[in-house]
Amino acid sequence: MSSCSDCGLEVDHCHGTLVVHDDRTLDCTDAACELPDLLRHPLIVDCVAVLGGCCGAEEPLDFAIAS
Amino acid sequence: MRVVWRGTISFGLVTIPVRLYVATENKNIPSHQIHVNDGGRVQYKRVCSIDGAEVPYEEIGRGYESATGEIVMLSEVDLAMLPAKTSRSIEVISFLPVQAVDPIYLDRSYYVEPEPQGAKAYRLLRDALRKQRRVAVAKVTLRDREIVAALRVHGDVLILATMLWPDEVREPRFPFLAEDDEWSTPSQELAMAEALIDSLSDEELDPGRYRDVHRETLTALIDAKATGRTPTPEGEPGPASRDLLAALRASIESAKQRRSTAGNGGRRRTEPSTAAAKKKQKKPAQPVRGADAPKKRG
Repeated sequence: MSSCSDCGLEVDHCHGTLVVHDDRTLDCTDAACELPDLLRHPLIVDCVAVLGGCCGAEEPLDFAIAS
Repeated sequence: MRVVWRGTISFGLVTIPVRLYVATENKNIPSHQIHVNDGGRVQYKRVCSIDGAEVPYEEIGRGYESATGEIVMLSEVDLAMLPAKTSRSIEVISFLPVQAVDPIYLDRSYYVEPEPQGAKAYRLLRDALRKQRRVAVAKVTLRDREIVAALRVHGDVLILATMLWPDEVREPRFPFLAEDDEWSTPSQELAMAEALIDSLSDEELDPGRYRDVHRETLTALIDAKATGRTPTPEGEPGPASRDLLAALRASIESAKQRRSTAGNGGRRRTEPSTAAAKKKQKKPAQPVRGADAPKKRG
């Protein structure tokens, strides 16, 4: 792989910003991103950094209960 | 697959040049944020909070939050002072039995491919790990951060599984745990639960047995909406049983029926527990139609 003309990296990467959510799922702000993985993204932010966060407070789950 | 990292595995005095590839991918159906008024895609722009201008990629630096909440900007020169910055090595530091690694510590998985000149040493490490049923614990620097990782055999390749630091695993602090000292598991329920476990036990995980029902139904829903058809609603799950023993008995019968219908699709444990052996005295389960059908979510 040849180096990136914008940043010089020689491995696969994306210039979007990777957003890490509370449940450790990942989203990239670049709509064309092929794979939202930590190693592919030099720019990574917690979802709290995106407009104060999007995950909200943890809410109790409603499980079916046998007693 | 594309290379996301290049470096070496250091294994004693042996050095193996390798490349990493992302091993897993999310198959969720991609959803996009849209403007509900006109259906336009919502896009993100990186905008400076001071001058309001869009910030080009090459002008984005890193600001870290200090203990007092202050944002401290660190340049590439600052980050270069960190000890592991220049390391391009997966440094094996110990070996553990496969079962000794609690999966909660495993984070992301990357396939490890040897560079052509390292293939022989790679095969040697892979075969030795496989024969000894061990994983290698290694230190590696990924994205400027030194982490611990596990090198393990998967099929015919090595996988580098990044690991979480101990303080990255949350401690479960649930009120019910405080009551465990006074808890005594009822023997009858325990025997039933063991029988249920036995009736559902396999020797190996067969991921092909499971279907992503959510993705299938979501695809059908999208297709129905796209073609103007009326989507069929999912049925509501039945009420949950509140009688634990009755729920266990019903679960065991249900598991037996599913296994019976599936034939030898699932490999049974060779030595069932006493509780399970007792359950064998009962009449054989009858096959039922659609036993492999996915359970309703609820």
